[in-house]
Amino acid sequence: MVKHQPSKTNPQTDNKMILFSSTVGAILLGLGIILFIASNWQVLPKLIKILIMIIATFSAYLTGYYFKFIKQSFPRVGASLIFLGTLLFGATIILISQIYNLNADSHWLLLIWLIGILPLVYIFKSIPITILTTLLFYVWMLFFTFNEEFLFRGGNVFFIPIIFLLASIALFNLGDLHYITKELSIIGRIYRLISLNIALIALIFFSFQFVTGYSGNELINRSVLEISPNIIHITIAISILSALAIIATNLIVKQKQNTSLIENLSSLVLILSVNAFGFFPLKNNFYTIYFNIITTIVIFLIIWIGYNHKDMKVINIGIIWLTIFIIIKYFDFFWDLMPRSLFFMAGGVILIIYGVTLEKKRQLIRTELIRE
Amino acid sequence: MISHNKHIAITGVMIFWLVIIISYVAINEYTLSTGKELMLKTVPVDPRDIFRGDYVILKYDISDINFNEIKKYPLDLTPGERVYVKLTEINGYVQATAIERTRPTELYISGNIVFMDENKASIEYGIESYFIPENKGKEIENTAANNRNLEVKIKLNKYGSAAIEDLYLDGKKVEFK
Repeated sequence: MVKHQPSKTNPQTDNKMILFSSTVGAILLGLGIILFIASNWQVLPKLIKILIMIIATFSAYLTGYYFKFIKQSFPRVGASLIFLGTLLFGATIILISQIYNLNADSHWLLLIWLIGILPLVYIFKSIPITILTTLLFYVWMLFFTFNEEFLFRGGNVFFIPIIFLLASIALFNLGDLHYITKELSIIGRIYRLISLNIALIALIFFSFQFVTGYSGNELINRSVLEISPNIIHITIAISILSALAIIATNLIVKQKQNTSLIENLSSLVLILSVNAFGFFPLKNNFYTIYFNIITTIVIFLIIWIGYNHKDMKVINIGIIWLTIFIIIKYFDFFWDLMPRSLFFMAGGVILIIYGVTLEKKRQLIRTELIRE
Repeated sequence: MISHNKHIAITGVMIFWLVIIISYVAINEYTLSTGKELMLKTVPVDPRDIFRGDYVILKYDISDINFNEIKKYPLDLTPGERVYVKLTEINGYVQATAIERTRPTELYISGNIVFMDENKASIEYGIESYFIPENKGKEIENTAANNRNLEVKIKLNKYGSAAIEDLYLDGKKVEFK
């Protein structure tokens, strides 16, 4: 699971504040440059527009590099300027595609941006750049699967959450592979935290009857929907990549956590489960019941593993998703069964009791972790 | 102090970015400067506004190809497949004459099959978006409703890649002030 990082001291909290404010500053500055170009769209010749963007991108990147590595006087401001460079690089790619009227929904733009900034994740080990890269990966995948495969080619829409869950399992285990060194583990932890959240969103999606169940309507039954050959290839490729990441981590990363076996087994069960759901649809509600059980188990496993690693962030992820899952399931199961007034009153009482119990438990865990 | 390797890596990324940006511009400039000038009849399908600003989606005569209107096409085309559409100019406008899997020797444009049934194939050529200044797309948007002619001048390079050069409304080049 998401491995433990040493707890933060006060100077580090200050550093975080500086990093946060300069990162927000970098985002605002980047937004300003993009808006300047956009508002002078027709006035500026195309090569001038491209030149302005190139100069802005490289100025931010080089100034950041100078502050962080050459002068070393303002390392955090330097890091933010490098981050600004990564944003402006993406803006430049998008602007060029706009100048030449290249197709607006092209996932290639996001992929070029992603490939362009990925090396910086490993050179600088910067948290904002790693978060940007990970989010870009998911947005690229959304554009790729939705625009390229489903919107136009009429593929099987059920494969969108399948691909997202599989990609999250792959990223989660690739993140594990980064624990080979302490330096890289910072990146690995971000990959794992983000992929964990995306995987849980996909799993909750699978817990609905309209997604995994059978309504009797043949038109929306997965067994009659065409699966595009590209999607079959992608699904199989990501499944293999996830399995390879698990094997590679076990072979390469020597320092094993006591929860590694559970993590690996859970990943394998999830890979097999979504592949079964995707390629072997059933005309009953088996998968709905199955994924409700699996999602509940995964959430409790996350809390348990977080507790084992004494990692409050992981415990919080588990608790937040448990709360969301309970509320969603309450609506899912009881909305049609109970009168509205009773539905809301009962829901309110359950949530208040849950909230009080949760708060007590969290305080207990926190005190216990601090004491240890 | 920063290591020598890190300096090399940071400079390497800068060169990598420059190569990406310059190649991206060069490929498109190559098509626009060396490509064959062609006119396509078009209709705007759906004006949108996403993070890249306002743009109209353009649909051409060659976007949906009826099999009974062309001479040759493979019977087993599948969505996602790369195809080469043979073109001919009739009365100054381009029309499709065949769909092939290999590059033809005559004038052709390359595209991807996006939809297929027994009667027709929908193909995307990468020239389906035209960007316009914010809030200035109404005139283009209303062309179909007002029976006005919208045409696109494209440049088609020898590898079958196309780029939009200009938009024409009733024979007049569209210019945004």
